[in-house]
Amino acid sequence: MSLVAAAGINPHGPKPQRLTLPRIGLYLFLACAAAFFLLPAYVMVLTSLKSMDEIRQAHIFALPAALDFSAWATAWGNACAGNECQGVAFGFWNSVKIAVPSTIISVLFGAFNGYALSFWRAPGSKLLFGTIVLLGFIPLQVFLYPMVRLLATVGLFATLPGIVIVHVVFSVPLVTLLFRNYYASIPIELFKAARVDGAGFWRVFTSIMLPMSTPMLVVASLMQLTGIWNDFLLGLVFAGRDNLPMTVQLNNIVNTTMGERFYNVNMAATILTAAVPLIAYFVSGRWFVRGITAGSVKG
Amino acid sequence: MNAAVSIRDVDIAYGAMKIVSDLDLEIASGEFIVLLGPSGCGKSTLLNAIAGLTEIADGEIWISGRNATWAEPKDRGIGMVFQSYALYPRMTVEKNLSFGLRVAGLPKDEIETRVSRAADVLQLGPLLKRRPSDLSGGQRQRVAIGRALVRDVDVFLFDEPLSNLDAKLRAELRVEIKRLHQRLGNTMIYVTHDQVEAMTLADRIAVMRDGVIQQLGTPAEIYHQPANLFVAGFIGSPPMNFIQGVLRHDASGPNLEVGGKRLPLDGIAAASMGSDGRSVVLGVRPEQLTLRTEGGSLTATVNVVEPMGADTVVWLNWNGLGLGARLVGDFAGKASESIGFDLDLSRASLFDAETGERLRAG
Repeated sequence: MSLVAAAGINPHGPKPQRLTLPRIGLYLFLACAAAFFLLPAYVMVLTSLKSMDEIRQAHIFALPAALDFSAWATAWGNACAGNECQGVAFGFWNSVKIAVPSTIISVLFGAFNGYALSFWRAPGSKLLFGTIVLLGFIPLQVFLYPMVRLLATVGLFATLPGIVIVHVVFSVPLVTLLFRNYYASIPIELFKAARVDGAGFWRVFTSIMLPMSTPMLVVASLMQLTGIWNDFLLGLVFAGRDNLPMTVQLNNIVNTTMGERFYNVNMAATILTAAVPLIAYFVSGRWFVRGITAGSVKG
Repeated sequence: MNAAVSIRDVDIAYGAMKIVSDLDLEIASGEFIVLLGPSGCGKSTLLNAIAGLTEIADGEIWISGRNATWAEPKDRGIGMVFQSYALYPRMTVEKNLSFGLRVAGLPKDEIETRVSRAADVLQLGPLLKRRPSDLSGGQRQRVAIGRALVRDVDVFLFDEPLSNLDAKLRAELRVEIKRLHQRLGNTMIYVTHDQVEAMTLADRIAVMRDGVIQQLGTPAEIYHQPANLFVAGFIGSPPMNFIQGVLRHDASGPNLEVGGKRLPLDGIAAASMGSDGRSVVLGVRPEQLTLRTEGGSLTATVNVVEPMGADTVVWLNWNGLGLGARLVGDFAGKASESIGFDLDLSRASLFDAETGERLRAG
């Protein structure tokens, strides 16, 4: 660089302009798109920080006169759904109790399925994989009633293990598909080398394949955690009164038909409910991108 | 013969497609054998079958005097090195080397001894704490060889181990593998499509095509007495010159009639065997073609000259036929000049044009 500069040689020729008209148009469009998605969030946050008196003035875009966090405290601890006033906190812990085991079990189960289907090629494994994927595309509403009957028969209906089993069963096809495709990109020679080294079915999985799967484990966990946390229908049907997840609880609070609607409390409760998947994405976004592209890029 | 590996009447099939059929191969203890052939000839499949990674449809595989046909890969007493190195990416070099031993449940000090011994042999000492992703291609392949080394096996299997390396490293590691064989004296089975690797490394070469061994012999045998046209054409660079013609016997002895001209075949004992009028192919290596600035029994036109430093390849046009000649040193002539040449027929080969098989004397 310095040598070239000392010799007085610089790059010559017409340079492309930084800001052209199409480029300005592009930025304008992107700004509009960003505003479109940010505006509801903006209104939600502002409304949750206002008092009910201020909200009644109906200046929804105006900043709050004074920051008032009481709505958040109410939403968390003692917002009312019908006669019960225990906020979304109860639902939050229920959701944790449902989502954490469901995510861990379904991801490990899916990774295991993907591994077995990719490397061990048992007779009929292709047919089995095809069936799993095909069944994964059937809307789960179809299975609701049979599933209720099945769980009721074995005494797991409306229990915590019951709702966890339901989530795992409905997630396994997708997670299996993810991991099978991920493992398909791993050279088969690696598997062969481990076999020559004497590793068996489990050892290859735990010592070689699982440690190599970190990007896919993160992506699958994120997808599962988000999906299960945001689930409403399965939680409503299978969880039972004591285990209702946060989403169901939120609905009960927001849709209460008696008395005044506390918009600030509703907004705060909604943000609290959405916070977990949101934080998960912010923390692991880098891994998410890496996992999605992992199959296509070498190394 | 003390056979280290004995392959008896083996068939390998994927579904209805037969990759290898009725293959027999006896490999002596301590022998370095190379399976050579174009891609898709079944050489890698055969190696995988020896390792126990591919099931065979028929026949038996014996390793170190035991019938290993149905044995697990780990119980066969083999170590294998792969083209893609196949190192475990999440483990350090040390863990890569010791994985097989840890799986086998060996005591810790025994594992340490073996790993450090292998690291000494392959000069991996300074790399032990690194990850495979921090190593160069040559280093990775040395680790892969080390992984086979620590397992103290009788038989080493190499599946195109040098194909992913650049030319310089390939030559270096080739010598290293040969040195390793001399030092350890293990039986080694080596699959490659590179004839230079085959010629330089092998005690014996098995040239394969379509799942059948075309010829099994020492590198010299394969090079100088190829069993058929396929082997003759596959081995050697630049390739052997093929001159197709009709065998004629007249007063002066056997001749090859090529496009109206007659080429005397005095030097070839096998020529007297063929009957008059038989269609044959004369095979002459480029170095058996001597260019003459003056005289020469035949005359050709110079087509292209390829100087390679130590030697020069001259492409000739003779009688409408392209011939390659290799001479030591430089070549003074130019393209489209006329030049005389002689054929050294004492080392030439004669093949049947229809079957492609070598004609043998006696």
